[in-house]
Amino acid sequence: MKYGIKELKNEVQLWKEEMSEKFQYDPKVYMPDDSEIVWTFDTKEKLNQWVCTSDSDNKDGFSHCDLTLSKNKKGLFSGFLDCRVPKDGQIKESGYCNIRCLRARKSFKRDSFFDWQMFTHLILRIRGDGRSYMLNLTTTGYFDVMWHDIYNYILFTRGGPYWQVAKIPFSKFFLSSKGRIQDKQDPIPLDKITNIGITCAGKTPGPFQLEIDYIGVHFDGNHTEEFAYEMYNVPSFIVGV
Amino acid sequence: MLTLPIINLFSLPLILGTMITMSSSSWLMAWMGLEMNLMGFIPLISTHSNKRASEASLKYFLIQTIASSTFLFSFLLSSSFSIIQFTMMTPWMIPFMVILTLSVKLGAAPFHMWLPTVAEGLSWTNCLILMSWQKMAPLSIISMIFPKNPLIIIIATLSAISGSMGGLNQTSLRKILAFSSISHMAWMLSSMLISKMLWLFYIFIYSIIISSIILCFAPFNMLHINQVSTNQNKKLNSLITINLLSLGGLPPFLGFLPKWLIMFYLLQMNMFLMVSILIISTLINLYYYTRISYSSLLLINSNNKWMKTKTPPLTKQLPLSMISLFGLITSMLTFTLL
Repeated sequence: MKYGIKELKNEVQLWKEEMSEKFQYDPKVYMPDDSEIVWTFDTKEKLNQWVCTSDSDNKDGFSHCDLTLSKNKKGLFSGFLDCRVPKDGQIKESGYCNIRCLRARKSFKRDSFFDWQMFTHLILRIRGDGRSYMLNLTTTGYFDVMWHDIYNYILFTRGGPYWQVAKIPFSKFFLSSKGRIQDKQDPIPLDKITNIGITCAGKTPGPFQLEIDYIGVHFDGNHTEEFAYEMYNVPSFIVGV
Repeated sequence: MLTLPIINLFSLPLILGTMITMSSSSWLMAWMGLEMNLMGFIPLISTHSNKRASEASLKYFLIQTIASSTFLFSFLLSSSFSIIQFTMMTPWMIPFMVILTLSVKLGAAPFHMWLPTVAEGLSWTNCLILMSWQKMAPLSIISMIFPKNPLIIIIATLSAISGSMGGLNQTSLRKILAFSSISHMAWMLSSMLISKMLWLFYIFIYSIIISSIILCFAPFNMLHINQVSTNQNKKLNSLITINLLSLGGLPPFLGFLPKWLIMFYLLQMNMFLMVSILIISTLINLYYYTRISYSSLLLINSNNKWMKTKTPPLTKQLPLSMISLFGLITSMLTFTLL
């Protein structure tokens, strides 16, 4: 009962903030070269907004990972990637670790989306270990066939002691569903993003670490690319495309 | 992808369906025209290899079929009222149901929530058809059968308020035009209280203005407010501003003419509250139209000298925009000369 009342108070507070923002009727319009930092990783409360999973959680392997606060008060996604396959006769490949943010939500536990339509790039200030990670932008759709739609792109890291700012255009993200890259590609719907995640997977077993300062979005006025992959119109008599 | 054979094949039932509804003398033919119109429009909006468009087309299909089936049910009840003695339906409920189901088809408040989400998923051309042509058939049924029903006043008022308030928080151009369409629906419905021809005149003028706006946005693939503000083409920005102010009903643009007529006749009928609500909602609409264009005209944007983009000439946009600009003055002059 006490927990329920506390939750109710939190939700009512969230609702009040939502309504006051709604009735201000002043949506923020971003100008060229504007950025917005969506996630920082400087406190433990902010780290609690992310969920860390690995294949060992699903009994698919032996990797383990964790998202902690580093010495510099940045987020540290680290762990051990183990590519050994469990001997259950079903799994062929193994070895993945993932962090994913919690779904955007409104008051009273209603699901919401991140609306990044006014932005063109995803920016991350990171310090990696030279491995390539996979960025996942989940766009859970309304209908069940779209529930597992994820837009991916590779995050290349340098491994040096210097921080890097990775600026990746949204037009470069390609569609996959349940991990399989789709033949029929289309640009990412930037107003329907539900989660963002970073995956470490591959055939190189060993420890990994990725230090993250912030993840944000950027509007580049000169970026005119709509979609980096095939956009030409296929004649309608060619089926399946 | 809209290839020419698909456009040729499905535009025929799209146009014929509306014309059958508008010229029908029976309920069944009117319903049949609505269905034919729907069957023609669905393939046009779902041919894009884009899951957003297919989601929008599926939502549109579900909503329209539910409305059509309820419309069929309501007019069948009206015809069978005298036969079925045990029915609980009284005569006043039948026009109530018919108008409500047609409001769902139109996207008039309080059944308007589907319109912005569906418009967001469609291409600009399909948006134009959705906001102009798709309104004709249901409006014609309402004007023919129940033009002076009090429920129309309630729906018009709600549409005016929700169209104006809903569009204030939007930054996506298609959603803004969808909410604007809901607002204009209020004017069209209130014009039915005056005469049967006035709503036709309003939708004709509205279609011209909305076509000229969409012709400005579509070739440049503008989907968002900040894309309008970063646009370097000054002539295009001026045309967009003219057309948006015309859509907002500001004199001396063309959009003022139908609003002026409706206001004049509604005031003669002593409907002062209705007129006040319509004017206030139009003012709010004008605020978010000017918000689209003011940043492109007034704010200084850096022009990259090294990035030379070829902008297509504005040959398609100019004629319709000139109609928006000079239409009112020309029509007034013509009227006085005649």
